[in-house]
Amino acid sequence: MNAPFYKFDLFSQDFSLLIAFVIGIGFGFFLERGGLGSSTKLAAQFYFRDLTVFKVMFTAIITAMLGLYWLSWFGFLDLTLVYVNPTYILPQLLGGLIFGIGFVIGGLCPGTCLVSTSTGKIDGAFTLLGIFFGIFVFGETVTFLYDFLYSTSAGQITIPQLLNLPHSVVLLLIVVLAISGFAGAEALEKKYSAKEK
Amino acid sequence: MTSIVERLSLSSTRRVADEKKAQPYLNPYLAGIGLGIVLLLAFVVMGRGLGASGGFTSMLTAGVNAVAPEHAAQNEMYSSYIAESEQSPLTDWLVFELIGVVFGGLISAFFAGRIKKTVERGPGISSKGRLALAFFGGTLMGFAAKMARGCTSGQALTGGALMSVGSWIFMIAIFIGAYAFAYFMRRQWI
Amino acid sequence: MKMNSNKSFIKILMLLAILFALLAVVAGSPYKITIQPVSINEEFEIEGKSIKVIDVQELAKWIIDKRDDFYLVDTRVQNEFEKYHIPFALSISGEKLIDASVDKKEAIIIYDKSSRYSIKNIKPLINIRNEEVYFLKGGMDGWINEILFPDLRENNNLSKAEIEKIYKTSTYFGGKPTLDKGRPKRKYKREGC
Repeated sequence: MNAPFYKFDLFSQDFSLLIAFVIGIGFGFFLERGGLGSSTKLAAQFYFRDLTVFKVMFTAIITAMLGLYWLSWFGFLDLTLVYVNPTYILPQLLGGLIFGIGFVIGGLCPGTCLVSTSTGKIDGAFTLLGIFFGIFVFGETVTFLYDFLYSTSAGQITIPQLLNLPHSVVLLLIVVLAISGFAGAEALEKKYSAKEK
Repeated sequence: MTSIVERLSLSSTRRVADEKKAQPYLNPYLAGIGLGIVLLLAFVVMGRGLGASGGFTSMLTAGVNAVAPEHAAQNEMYSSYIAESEQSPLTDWLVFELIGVVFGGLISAFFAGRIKKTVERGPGISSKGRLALAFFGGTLMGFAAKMARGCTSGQALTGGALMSVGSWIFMIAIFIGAYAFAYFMRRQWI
Repeated sequence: MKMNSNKSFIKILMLLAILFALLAVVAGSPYKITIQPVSINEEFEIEGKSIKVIDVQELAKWIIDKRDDFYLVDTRVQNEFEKYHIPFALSISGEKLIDASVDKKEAIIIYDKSSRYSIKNIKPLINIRNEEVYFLKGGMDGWINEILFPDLRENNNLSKAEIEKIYKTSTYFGGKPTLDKGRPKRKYKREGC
């Protein structure tokens, strides 16, 4: 078992920054390849015209999820050393709702707006500026939000742990859900794109 | 590839149109697999996933720290992003990752002929209106991302793959919020 | 034409995904290291060897009393050990090793990051030593939260003597207790991304 490499001291922190850059290139590359650098394409998701966002996102999730499982099962990767985001139920629920509203207004999310800006879309640049401004506003108001921000914490908890189900059962459920979702997405696209014409 | 003679005989507008012909996007499932593999690589090499909003916060922190260090020091958010060591907040994994994202997007767009200065918008709104809404949407997202400790890259993609409860709550809430509000934005997009 | 071959390729991939997921259900847990539940209050057993439990307060006392009849072993990775380890701890991996050649003492106290212990980390040790083995309840997290940085603000019901003792222990190990200073300093942690 020697992965995650960084957690096993296989290279220095400085080198990890280089890794970050390389991984970022891959990230940006595939985002743009899939068309996620275009706000009109992303927003079409919410009118059922073009469900690319859903397809790309969930394909990525199940790919990584399956990869994590199998690499771990074969003893290559130590899953316990991978950082799991802590859960804060209410802040993430409310944050998600607000983010969703912002998403359909702006048409891009933080990662994709960078890709959008770098490929020349001015609306991407404005979204980017907006994000910085939003973070700035948060910074100025964080004192008042503190109590809410740290409420309903549940620690680093995963769905299998929450539902007390085996890891692989939840994995199967998510894979099946995603693929059913894809089938549904194809059907929706057919239906609503026809309407457009 | 058109021959030189053919090129010279084409009218200028047509030439421009040919050169700027964008290739179609990659199949979303294939793009998703590519993205998933990149994400997996991050887990395997670094033990962490991708992210975006944290990197932006680091950049903002560096900026605020340079302009008004006292404010940054006593503000809870900025001070947490300023490392105790001498290193600048810019020596952050996410910042370097984001720089990579810029290049990655550029490379992909370059080879697909998709680099173009434009304002993307639907038919029902002006450029100015679109830009204003883009800024406003970005503000909401920046704020919400800090509240939720992440954005679609960090929480939805990364946390989603790790089956983190909070991440899935966040992800589902995004879809609910966006679809619910989509009705009010339809002029902008469709 | 290309669309169709693409489509069937995608369909195959999706089927493969479901196949791998189904296989996963059969294959079982991906966690190769056995993770035990968080709360341990009493003795437990690893491969027939009985492991006692010691809490951080007790360990702190042993160190302050300058007891030298035990080994303190850190079972985390070298990286973490070097960042900070409890004073006098030896690493199970890396330079300050504890192995079969070291002198026998009365006890070995093992600690990990938290109360969750991993059999993989402890097993090699108990196979080569035959001292009495203790596991530190709370682990490094407990050490940091209770010994180094205890919360001594007003809303507790400790006696003055107890507060004094906790304060002294904390400063002995180079820690800093949280005291009231008008508005309590709340920590904003950078989490997630």
